[in-house]
Amino acid sequence: MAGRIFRAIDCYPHEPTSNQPRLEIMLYNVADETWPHLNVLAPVDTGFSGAVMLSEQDYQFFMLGEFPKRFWKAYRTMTGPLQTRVARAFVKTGESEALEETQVETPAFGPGKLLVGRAILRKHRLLIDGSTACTCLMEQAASNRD
Amino acid sequence: MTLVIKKLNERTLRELKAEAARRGLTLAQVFEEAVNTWLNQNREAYAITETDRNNDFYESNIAELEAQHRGKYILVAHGRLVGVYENLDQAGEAINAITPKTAQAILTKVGEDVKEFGEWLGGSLER
Repeated sequence: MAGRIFRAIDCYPHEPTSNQPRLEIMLYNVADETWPHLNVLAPVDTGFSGAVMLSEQDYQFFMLGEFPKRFWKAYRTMTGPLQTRVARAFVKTGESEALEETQVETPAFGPGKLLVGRAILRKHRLLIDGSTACTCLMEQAASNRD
Repeated sequence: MTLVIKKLNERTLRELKAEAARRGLTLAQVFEEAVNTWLNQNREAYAITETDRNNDFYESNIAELEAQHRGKYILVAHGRLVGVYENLDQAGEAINAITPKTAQAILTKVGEDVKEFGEWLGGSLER
């Protein structure tokens, strides 16, 4: 694994006040409609194991492809268990044209917030560059052992 | 944009202006906030009803659905089975064709979707 060289494809500025890393995403519902918030910079949360968390209001756009209640998710959080509504959706990340099936969620009770979690992050190579306050999508350029 | 409203109750207008002044908002801002609240309330009330109806149908018919349509996508809207599909593209087309339009539908892959458990630790929870 060591010795690999990567090149940044796209970089996104961190949130100015909290310095939270962000990633550009585009979302589509199952009816192939584009989420009105185009190319949104979504905060990255490595503590969230799901894919995309949304506010209750934003989630309504995706309710055309909702999972049955019995398949809504349950999360372990630092303040106790949390249940989320879950819907099918499609996501594009960064400049990629690839559309991937994903899940969007919002808490069943209480407000949610926009977040990108590990289920999205594990499909990408990401550099969180604290010194320049930006997060970059990377691709492998070469290996210095080649 | 400019909107002219005729026959508005004078007392309502007076109370609206007073509330706007109390909160340091323009009449337009108060009106917009009130309209948004009203729209969202209506949407939520509808969505909850539709969600419950669709889930009631799903739970009442789950044994039959699993026996007949395992591995396929089923679409439930307006409290009934809309159709059974081989893939998400077909299901998406069916969603667009639902009449009357709906705010909520159940789309599940029978026998393959499961309840998942995850963790959401620290990070964004408190911000």
